[in-house]
Parts: sequence; C-alpha cells; structure tokens
Amino acid sequence: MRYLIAIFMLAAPVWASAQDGEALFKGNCASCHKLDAKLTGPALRGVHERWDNKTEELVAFIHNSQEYMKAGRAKSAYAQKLFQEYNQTIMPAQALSDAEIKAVLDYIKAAPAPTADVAAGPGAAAPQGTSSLDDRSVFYILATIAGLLLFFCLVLIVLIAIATSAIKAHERGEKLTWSFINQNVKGFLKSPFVTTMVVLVVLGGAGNAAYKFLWSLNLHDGYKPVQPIAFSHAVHAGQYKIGCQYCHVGVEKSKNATIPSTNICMNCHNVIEEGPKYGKKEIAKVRESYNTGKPIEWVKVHNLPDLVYFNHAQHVKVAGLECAECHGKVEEMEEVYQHARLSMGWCVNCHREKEIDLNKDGYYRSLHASLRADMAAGKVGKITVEKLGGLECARCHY
Amino acid sequence: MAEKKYWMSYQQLENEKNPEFLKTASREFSEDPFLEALDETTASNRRDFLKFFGFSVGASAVMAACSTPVRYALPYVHKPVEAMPGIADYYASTFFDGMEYSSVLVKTREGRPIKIEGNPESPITRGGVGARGHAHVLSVYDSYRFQAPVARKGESTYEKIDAAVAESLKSGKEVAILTSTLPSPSTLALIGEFLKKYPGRHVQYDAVSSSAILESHGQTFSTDPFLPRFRFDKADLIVGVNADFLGTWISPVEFTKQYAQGRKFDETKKKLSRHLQFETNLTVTGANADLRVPMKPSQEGAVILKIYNEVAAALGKPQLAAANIELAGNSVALAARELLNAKGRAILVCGSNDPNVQLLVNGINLMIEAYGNTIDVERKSNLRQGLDKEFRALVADMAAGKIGTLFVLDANPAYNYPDPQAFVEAMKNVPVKVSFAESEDETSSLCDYVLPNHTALESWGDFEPYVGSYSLRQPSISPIFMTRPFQDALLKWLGDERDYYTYLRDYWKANVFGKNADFETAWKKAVHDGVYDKKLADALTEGKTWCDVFEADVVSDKLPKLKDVDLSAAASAVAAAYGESKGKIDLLLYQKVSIGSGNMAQNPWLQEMPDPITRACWDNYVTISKKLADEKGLKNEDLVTVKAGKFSVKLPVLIQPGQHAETIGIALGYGRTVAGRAAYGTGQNVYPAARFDGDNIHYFTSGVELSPTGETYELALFQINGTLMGRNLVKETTLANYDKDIKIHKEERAQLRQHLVTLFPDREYTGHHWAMVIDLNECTGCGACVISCQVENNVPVVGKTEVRRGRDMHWIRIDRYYSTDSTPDDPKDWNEDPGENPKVVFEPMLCQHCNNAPCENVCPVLATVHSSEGLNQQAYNRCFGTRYCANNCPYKVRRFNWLDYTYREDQDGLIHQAFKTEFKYNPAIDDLGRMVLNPDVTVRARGVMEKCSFCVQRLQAGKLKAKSEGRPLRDGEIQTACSQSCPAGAIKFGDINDPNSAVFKYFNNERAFMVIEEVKTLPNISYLMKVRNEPEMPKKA
Repeated sequence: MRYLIAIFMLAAPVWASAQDGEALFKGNCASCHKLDAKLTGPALRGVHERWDNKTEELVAFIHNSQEYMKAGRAKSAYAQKLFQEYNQTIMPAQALSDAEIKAVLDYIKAAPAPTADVAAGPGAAAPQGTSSLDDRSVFYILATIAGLLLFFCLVLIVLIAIATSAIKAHERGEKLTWSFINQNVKGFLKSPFVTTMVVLVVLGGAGNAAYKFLWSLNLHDGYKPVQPIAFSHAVHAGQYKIGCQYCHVGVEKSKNATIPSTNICMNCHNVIEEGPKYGKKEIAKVRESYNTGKPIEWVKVHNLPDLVYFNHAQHVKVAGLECAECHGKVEEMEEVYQHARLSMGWCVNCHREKEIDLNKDGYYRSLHASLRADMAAGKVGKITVEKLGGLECARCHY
Repeated sequence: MAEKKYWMSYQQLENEKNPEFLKTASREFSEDPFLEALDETTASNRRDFLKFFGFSVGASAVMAACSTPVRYALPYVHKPVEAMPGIADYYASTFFDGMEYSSVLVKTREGRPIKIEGNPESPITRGGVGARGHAHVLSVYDSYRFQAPVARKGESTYEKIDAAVAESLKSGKEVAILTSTLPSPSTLALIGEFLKKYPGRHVQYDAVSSSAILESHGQTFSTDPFLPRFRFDKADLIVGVNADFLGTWISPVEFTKQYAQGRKFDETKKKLSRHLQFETNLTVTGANADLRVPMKPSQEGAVILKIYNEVAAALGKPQLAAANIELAGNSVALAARELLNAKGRAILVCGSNDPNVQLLVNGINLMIEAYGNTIDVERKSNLRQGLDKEFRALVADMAAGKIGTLFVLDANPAYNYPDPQAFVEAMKNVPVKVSFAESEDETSSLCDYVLPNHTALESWGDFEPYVGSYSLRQPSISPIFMTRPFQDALLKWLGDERDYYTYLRDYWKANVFGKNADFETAWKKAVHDGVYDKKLADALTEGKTWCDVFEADVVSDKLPKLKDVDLSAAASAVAAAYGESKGKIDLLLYQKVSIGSGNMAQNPWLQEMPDPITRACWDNYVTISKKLADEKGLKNEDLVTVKAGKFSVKLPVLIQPGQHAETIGIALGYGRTVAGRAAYGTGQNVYPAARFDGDNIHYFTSGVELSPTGETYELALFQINGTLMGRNLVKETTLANYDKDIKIHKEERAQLRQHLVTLFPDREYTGHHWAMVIDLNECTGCGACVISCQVENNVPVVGKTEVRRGRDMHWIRIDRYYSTDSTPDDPKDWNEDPGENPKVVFEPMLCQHCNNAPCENVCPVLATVHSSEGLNQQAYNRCFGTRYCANNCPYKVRRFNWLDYTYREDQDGLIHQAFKTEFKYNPAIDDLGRMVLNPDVTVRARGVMEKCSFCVQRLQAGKLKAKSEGRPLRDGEIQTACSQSCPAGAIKFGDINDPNSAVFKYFNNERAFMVIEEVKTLPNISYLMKVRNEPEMPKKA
C-alpha cells in the first residue's frame, strides 16, 4: 500500500506533462511504435527498464539513433542489437527538444495499460504483462472448450452405451459384464448411422475447406505490398486531412482514380523536405523522381482481373459513393492494404442492396420517373442499382 | 417486286441441289483438327488424352496455387494537364500514304495511339476514313521498322551519316530527291530551298501512275500538267470507265462521301443520281453502278471515242476517227445519251493512263459542261503529281552517272516500277543513295544509308490536297525509335538551325494565313481543327465547323482560256491503238481496296481484310470469267502460268462473275520481297507485267497467254461455300418501280408481323434501346467498317491457314450477293450465264442483337444473355465454348476462338511449333504490337465465343459522360466503330426508345426490312431496301 501511495504521489506532478507527451507520441512516434505491440519499431512499454532507467541515454538515442550507435556510449551495444533486430532499419532522427522527448517518455511510463481494469488507476498499469485477450488466446480457449465438448460427447456416448447395454442385459435377463458393454459400444460405433455421420462430417469439412479455398483464389483482401516509398496515408490523409481527390485527381473523371504524378507530390514537398518519421530519406526519393524524370514504381494494391471493367467516375461522381465504402479507413492506414474483397460476389451484393437516389435529374430524369411510378404503384419495394441493370454482364464485362 | 435469284458463288449456284454439298454447306465450322493437319506425328489416342487431361488438371492446380504476379502502377512524373489516364485524347491529323487522303482524328490512351477515326471537321473527307486509314494506326507499332539509322558501310550514327551525305552533296554532281506524291506545301518549299543550294531535281513518283490525266489537263488547258478536282456530289449522272473511284482511284474516301450524297434516297423526293460503269474486273465501283457493262481494257479508248462521237454528233460538232467497238447492246450510245441528258450535271471519269484517251475524256467533259460544274479546275488537286516521263528521265540520268546523290522518300520503284531491273541497275551508278524509309523495303535495301523517317503518327506535317485547302498532321506519340523527320535532315544540310516544326510554323505564318491574322490564334485553331481552308474561311462563322460550310465550296465556273486542242490526232492514235482485239486475252492489273499499291503490305489487318468482291485475302490471284475458265478447262484454285510478253507469273485462278469473258485480272501490291513479316509469302508481284510505252505506263496488256500447270493452290476465302437455303436475305427495287414495290413490301411485312409467334415473352425497354439501321442504298461495300471494328474491338488476325478453315474472326462482314434476272434454267435478256454480269448487293452483317435471340436460349451457362438496353451480351469469362450459340445463330455472326491467337513469342517451350508460323501476323503477339490494343476491351482467350457487342464500351463511356455532366444523352452522341467510320454514312446507330432520334425514323422507314424476319428473332438491326436508278436497259443488238 505504501508503494501505491508513493507511486500516486510521484505520478501526480508528472501527469500534466504526460498529457502533452501523449499528443507528441501520437504525432511523432505512433506511426512506427505502439505501446504494447511491435510495429516498425519495438513496443515502447517498459523502455525505461530496458534502458536501465538512464533517461539521458534514451533521449540522446531518440535524437539521433545512428550517431548514438557510433558514439560508444553506455547503451550503444544495446542500440546496435536493436538495429540488427529490426532488419537494420534505422530509427530516423527526431527533431524534438529534450523536454518534449522526456514528456513522451513520461507518457509511455504512465500510459494506462489497455486492459479492462483501467479503473484500477494508473498505478495498476505499472506491472509488466497484460491480461488482455489477443486472438491467439481466444483460439486456445475456444479450442479447449471444443475439446471438452468432444470429450463430454464421448463420455455421453459411452454412458449411453453402458445404459443401453444395461437395459438390453436386463431385458435378456443376463448379467451386465464388461465384455458385453464393450461389444455394445463397438457395435454402436460401427453402426451405419455413426459411419455415415462420420463420413458426412469429414466430407463436409473437406468440401467446405475446398470451397473456401477455391473462392479465395486470386482474391487478395488484406494485400499490403511494400511500396517503394514509405508513404503514409495516415499522415497525409489522417493527420493532415488532405482530401483524397487532391492527389487522386482522376477519381471523378476517369475509370482510374490515378496514382498522383510526382509533380503533385512536389506541390508540398518542394517546401517540406523532411518528414516526421523518415526524415529526408523517403521524401528524397520523390524529389529524385522529380529531378530525374523517372516515375516512381508503386505497387498496385487493388488489382482487378483484365476481364473486369471498373470505373471510378461512375461510382464516385455519379453514384456519390464515399471512397471509404470500398477502400476502408485509408486515413488510418500507415501502409495501404486492400480493404474490400473485390470479388464478383462483393460487387454484386452492393449492386443488389445499394438504394439509389431517385431524385437525380439530367441523364436520369425519365428513367427515374418511371422507377418512381413503379414504386408508387407498389410494383417494387426498393430501388437498387440492380433495377438500373446493374447486374447485367456487359456493364462490367466487355 | 421482281423475282430475283440471289447467290454468293458459282459453287452454290451449281451445287444447290446436291445433297452432299448441302451437308457441308450448312456446317459453319471446319471440323478438321488443327495440329494434326500440320504435323502428322502428333496424332493422339485415348492414352494421350488421359495424359493431357491429367497434365492439364495438374497444371491448372499448380497455376492456381501460384501467387499472382505483382503489378506496378507508374504515374507520370510531370502530368500534362490534358492527359488523364483512362480517358482518351483525340488529336487531329492527316492520313496520306501516297494513294489515299483523309483528315483524321487519332485516338490516344495513356499517350499511345490506338485508333484512327475520321475528322468530322474536314470539308473534304467529312469524317470518312477508309480501311487503309484505319489500319494505318498499326504502322507506328511495327517491330519491323528501322529503329536507328543504318549505314551499309561504316558507323551507323546520325553524325557520321550526315557528314558523309554532306560531303557527297558538295561534290557538285546533281542531287535527285525522289518522293511519292508530296502534297505538303512546306516540304515542297523546303525542297525548293534545298535544290537552290544543291542543284538538282525533285521527282514525284506514284506507285500506280495517273500521269495521263495530269498531262492531258495540261494540254487541254494549256498549263502545266495538273489534276482537277472531281465533284461527284454535284453530278446527277456519273459515267466511269475503268476508274474504281470508290475503291482505289485518286481519292476514294472523299469520292465515296460525295457519291453517297447522290445515293441517299429520300422517300419524299424520290431522286437518285445515276451511275454507269464500263469496266473489266468487277470492282466496288462497278458493283454500285446502276448499269455495269463489262469491257476489255483494250477497248477503253474505243469506248471513249465512241461516246465522244455520239455526243459530238448530238451537239452538231465534228466527229473524229471512229474505232470499231461492239459492246453489250447499245450501252455506249446509251451512256452518251445519258450524259447529254444530264448536261451540266454529269461527269465522266476514266482510269486509263493513256494521254490520248484522257484528252478525249476532257473533250467529252467540255462538251457536257462538266468543267465548271462537276469538275473544278481552279481548285487543282495535289493528290497525284507523278509524271511517268520525269521518272523515266531520272532513271536514264542515274544510269548515265549524272546523279551524285539520291534521296528516296516513300517511293519504292525497285518493287513497283514496271522495269525494276532498269532502276536497280541505274542505282548502281549513283555514288550516294539515301533512303528515308520507315521500314526496310526493296528500294531502301539498295541504298547506302537509311535515315529512317518518323511515322505519320509521330511527325508534324502539312498537306494541301486541293489548292487553298490545307490540313495539318500533328504527332500523337513521341517517337518510339531513333528516327528523324526527313525535313530535319534537309534543314541540317542546308545549315538551317531550325527544326521542321519551326520551319512549318514559319511557312504557315508567311504563306497560309492572311497577313493580318493573329498567327498564334489561327495556328492553334488550325492544329485543333486539323484543317484550314482559304476559300471557306469567310463562310466560317461563329459556331460552325469547316465541315458545316463545305457547301460553300462551289465549283468555280471560271475556266482557264481554252486553246483549241486538235483532238483528231489523239483520236486517230486511239483508233489505231484500241482496235479490234477479239479473241485476244487482256490482262488488267488492278488494285485491291485493302492492299492498294502494296505500300502497306506488311499490315496484317489489311492482308486479312476480305476483298469486297472476291472475298479472298492474303494472296493475289487471277480473276477469270467462267466462260474463259471453261474454255481453258480451269477450276477455282487451279494454278496457271500467265505469260505477258517476257513476264510470266504462276498464280491460282478465281472464277469471278462479272469479269469480261476475254480478260483476266491480277491485283498489284502483292509479292513484296523486302517488307514486314505479314507481307511475306503473299502472292506474286505483277508490276513488271505493266506496259511502258516510253511515255506512259499502261496497266493492261493485250494478248496474254494462259496455261494450266496442273497444280492447285488453296486460296483464303470468306463466304464461299455457304448456301442461302432459298431464303431472301436482301431486298431491292428500282426507282421506276418504287411506288409499286414499296406498297407490296409494306403489305407483306405487315402480314408477316401478324403471324409471328413465340413462346417467349416480349421484352420491354424502359431506358435505352440501342438499334442500328443500315441503308443498303448507301453502303458501297468498301470495308472501312470491318477494319474499324477490328481495331476498336481487339479482333485477332488469324492468318491464311485459319481463314481457309473458315475461322476468320471479323465481327462485321460485308456479305456480297450477286443477283441475276435470269437463271441457268431460264436465260433472259442478254445474259446467258448468270455470272456474266450479275448485279451486286452488299449487306453488312453483324450480330443482330435479336430481342428474341436463338443463341441466348441454348447457352447452358448463361454466358450470352440479353440486357435491359436491347444488347445481346457475351460474357467471355463465363463462356466455356460449347458453340451451341453459334450453331443456333441464323445470321452466322458468332466467332469462336479456336486457338490462342494472341500467342506470345516468348512462350516457346509450351506452345506447339505450328502456332508460331500461323499466328505470327497478329499484332497482339509482340510487345510493340500489343500497344495498339484497346484497353477498354478484353482480349479473348482460347475456347471462348465472341461477337459484335454493339461497341458496348462506347455505349458505357457515352452514358457515363452524359451522367457526369448531368444531362440527357444527345441523339447521335454515341456511335459504334462501324457507324462512325462508314465513309458513306450507311450505318446509323442510336436509341429507338427516343422517338425524336434519327435512328427511330430510319427504323420505321417504309423501306425497312429485317433479315429473316419470318423466324421472329426480332433483331435490333434493320436494313433499308436498295433502290437502283436503272436506265432503260440496253437490248442485245
């Protein structure tokens, strides 16, 4: 209890700067570090302990990790080890003041653990390790439950078999023996019913797996390729709130949303030479492309097969869809990944369900008038894209 | 309506009652296995089948498990404002290949040209482009092109070659610049400057010469030789004598546009122009004529002379020496009478290259007042400049060693001069020979240096097809290879710092726009429009295009002072030269609509384009009349040796209805020895069979010998074995019988429609309902739509062998039907043989997009289904190739991908050797050629059915444009590739749910009929009946 009070007392004055620390952390560190998970860099909780509470050393390292490694200071060897551990990716130099770095460190130290028992107060956050359920543990728990259920089933089968044997023995007026029970259980397990059930279950499982596998062929949801430039949508679209169309100029005009040409990047990066995470390194690639005239070879994330015609303008300009409806929360993506499944079923589903705005004029005037009339007459309930022919083959395949 | 018998080929006519023939005729696809036919060792059995089956299952499993390749997206570095990936840009430009002119729009996607379309702003071609113009887009992606300069000896760099040529220029010997017709005013000015500094001459040379027309006009009007402008749109009566002006003669696209104007039938006015044609081979022009009279080429002069005398007699003018001429009935007199009746509204054109004949033609045209009405001599044409005499003089001087340096641009005399050996020998006496060829040809291979010129799509240029009417050429792609414009080279040797683009601008500033014009504004407009016309500039008011004011281009009636040319000398010469040739066989050298003079022979699209008349492709052959073939005991595809003087050639025979009985015809432009891969092994070169009389080249020879060799050669023919199954697929009438026939037609159709029944419910269309109307009266059969469709829709080229198997892939074909009033059982009139001089109807046939489609009902996987806009959709990736649909299609318009025609050269190991030789022609097989593919259209794989989609990609794009702009779709805004490209405007496309649309009115026109309407397929394509304006038919004398 004494310790607890002491921690509370220590924490109280720190807390105020740790609030700033939180903002600084999110603005400068969060794209590469998380508190409790590895990202580009190591999880930061417990960093003080790992650095033997040598805050000055830590600050120097954060200022410029490369120099620190070379300088041969107290923890240089450890820094080298980290460098190797993280695929020789350097942590870029950070243009923060000592006070700011300390605020971030204080925030890390004091930040509440992401557990359900946050209510226990900041003191409870101090201990290492968490009791949160990650996906793996959920799996183990479920597997255990399933195992237990299976075990109980078996026990039940055995019990039922014993009970039926007992009844049978009683009916025959024989004495219930182990061999009799054994015989009956075996007989039950070998009965056509059980065999059929087992075959069905096995076949069903295999079929299901095959079905899922085949349907997943050439579908790449979650595909997150490594791009030639560590471009962060989280920074550009999330933090700086640059609208999608500022860069993707084609989205309302063309079938292609278009990858921005280098000169669009240079609108800003003419001035901004250094980024928060990679310093000049990544932005230098953009400038190099601009100066040499060599285009940047981005890796396409969303790939449709050649037999599909998709047009952004139709969906964004005409139908008025939000980008996020297909692309997910790009403003939160450090590296863009394929959010939607992009299967034909996925397309068709939307065309079946999406209701259309029947008040559109211009091109749609007469068409929508007739649909409204149909609706008023009760011929159709819901006017979806399907009613405009959105499910026809030659709308997308030609 | 008069009962007529329609037929497609002699085979059909003769065999229609033969059950064996009918059995094979009804089979759409050839059943012979492909690989086995080429290679006997690969015959497979059941075990092989199991092996292949196992392998393919395994292979597909492995393939499926492999990860998909990483795809990259490369953005622009500096994005041009106007360029937007995914959106096409159009650049106005000009197509001129020395044979054919048209103002065009080049469609580019992501900076590469993918399609050529007509420039609707042009007052000359008015949006028309021919098949050759369409196919020309491929020239820029020809991997056979020169990729850098070539020096046969020494270092192949521009610096070294330029220096060597400059050295030779200083030698003091004469310079000769040999080009094809060059209607570029700025280039001509530049050549003029060049020749001032380096004395020499500029010789223009046409592959197929028209020099007699030029010379005769010079004589008639006492000027330098010139070509006048023919205005078929001003003529109510057209008489052609061996002039294929709708196919290959001088400016076919422009003439087709003009001709169609007079052939557009208006139900209220009931007026049509009349066209009489005297010709040897059946040409597109003759096929469209109201009266066609077969004639020997050695009668050309006599026919003209007789017309002259008849006209002169009627006008009370002195007659000239007469030639003995006996032609079908009184057809020559009839032509003379018709010409006189339409005095001032008539035109006579003749394709002869004999100046004496052309002088007489001019004499006739003067008498019937064609000059000043239908022929414009003020607006001289620059489209043909070659004079045979000049070229002959050049060859002589070259041989004599007088020429020190020879430049060759776009001319190929080593291939197409009648005496190529003389030219080749003369070349040996020229110390420095420089070719500016785009790709290696027969002439460039004789040159010391090749400084490759940009292709048309990469270069700037200007044209003046008619005096005062300009058109510009602008690049639509940056140069792919290390090529350089011809003009840049001249400027360099002149010591001029400018490049050609600057020179061109300076030239236009000084010579084209008026002194007071704001040059930048005027230039920008000219580049945008692609055309500029001094004469029409005043008429061009706000909101009008050059094309809108083309009517202001009136034919000048100011004739130059006429010197009385004594025609009697010409007449006696003609009478002597074109005397009696009865019994002798004449050979006519003609050009095909597709291959022309052979300058684009390496273009696979053109090679595979079926000839509108013979329906053959990939070869030339001897067209022969049935009568002559029977006499010589020849059958179709028998190889014969044709001997004309010293020249002899071995070619297969094709029995051609309409061919004059004592003539044979062979197409020029084949048998190239040095050209791109598609030109190899296609036919024989017959230019040496042309006759050079010392002054002019004559493209016919009298008294040729024909001897069978006993061998045969299989031709690649379309539409040869079919049968009409006794059905009437085309409808036609004559102007005289129009009222009567249309009444019957309307009644019959109304009655027919009452009796149509089907089990399937009728469809209702609430949105658009796309439909097409094809006016058979306007369609000339030129085939521009076939190539336009092929380019737009990534239709593969399949090669000669596959065409022989009937596996051609064209989505639109132009069926050619012969008709005769007489039948073999019932000979009428002066026709004894139904094929002696049949009438011809062209019927473009494409997917009819039936509302009650037989193909849709039989597809087991619903790969072909109907859309809510009336389209018959084909989903390639759902199709698994049962071919039930094609089997059930009464129009036979479905095409099956028997093999992977897009086979790539780099997959050697996996693909059968035979594929390599067979599909080498397809543009899609190499990386460069693939750039021409339309990115909006799927490239189909093996085993998939395909067919006309009504250019659904254009429909979708057009609708999206209207949606984005928030406005209703405008009538005529969306055009399919075929409707847009038709130079005659015969194909009309639109939305028939819009009662105000043009297509709605055409669809409900009284002439409208549907093909095999009686089976209730309810097509979305309607045809308009052909109306002929026949003169009173000549009777057998």
